Amino acid sequence: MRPLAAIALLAGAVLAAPEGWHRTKKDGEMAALRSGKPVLVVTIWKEKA
Amino acid sequence: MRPHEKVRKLLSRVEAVEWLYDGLGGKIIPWTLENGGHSTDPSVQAFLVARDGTVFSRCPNGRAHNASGFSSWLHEELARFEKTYPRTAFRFEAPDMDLIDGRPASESFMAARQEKKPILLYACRDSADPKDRKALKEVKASRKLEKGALSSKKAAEVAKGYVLFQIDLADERQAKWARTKGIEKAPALLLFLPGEAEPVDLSKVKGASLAYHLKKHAPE
Repeated sequence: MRPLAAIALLAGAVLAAPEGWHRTKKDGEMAALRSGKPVLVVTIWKEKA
Repeated sequence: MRPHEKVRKLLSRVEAVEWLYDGLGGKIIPWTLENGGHSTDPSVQAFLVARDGTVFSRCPNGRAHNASGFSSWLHEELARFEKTYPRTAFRFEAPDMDLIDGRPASESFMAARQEKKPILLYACRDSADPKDRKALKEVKASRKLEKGALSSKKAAEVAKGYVLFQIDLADERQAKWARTKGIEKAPALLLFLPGEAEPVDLSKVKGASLAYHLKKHAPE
């Protein structure tokens, strides 16, 4: 396995499946304005399928 | 609790964004470099960001790659964030919570009672299992109370004469302790007055009338 793919998989395991996650920082900030929560931004590289 | 479970629970307190790298010419690498990143490689990085887009904290290198390191970073930084950007006008403190003979007890709560100080106790629910509809409803109702009565600056001013405690019913130990105070669901707002065995329930008080109720019971 290539190192970058291994990192992506590990982070994926730590941070769970991104169901319900926002796709961009801007989307997260817009949602935060409604919910009052802070935004957790995870930058990640994933190999294209 | 296992680290992965801790992370899952903490994620309910944030708006989570998975921002996929968009190449060297994209937006992400310059943004990470501006905010404490040191690499132009697409490594996994995590940032806690305020609603206005300001970066509050960056997860140190290495901790984003393991559940235990990541959950402790997120736990600490969320506590710091919530203290810096409080959700309410009230300056609630978390009471200490220990196990005495297997039962949860709060020394700071007991001390305030013994010193005959009036206590305003806010029991909220900060997170819930997405499948638990009842708990999700409590999370929503807690945010509503925070945006309503608990955002009243007038009430917060009057409450300065009170000891202010906040607990989270999503935490099992705190929920168990809350039940000893008669709290079964969130949100609950109870006023414990010196010499009174039973608390005054202010959970249904709306908007600015909280100031009136707090003033009515305020210590001389």
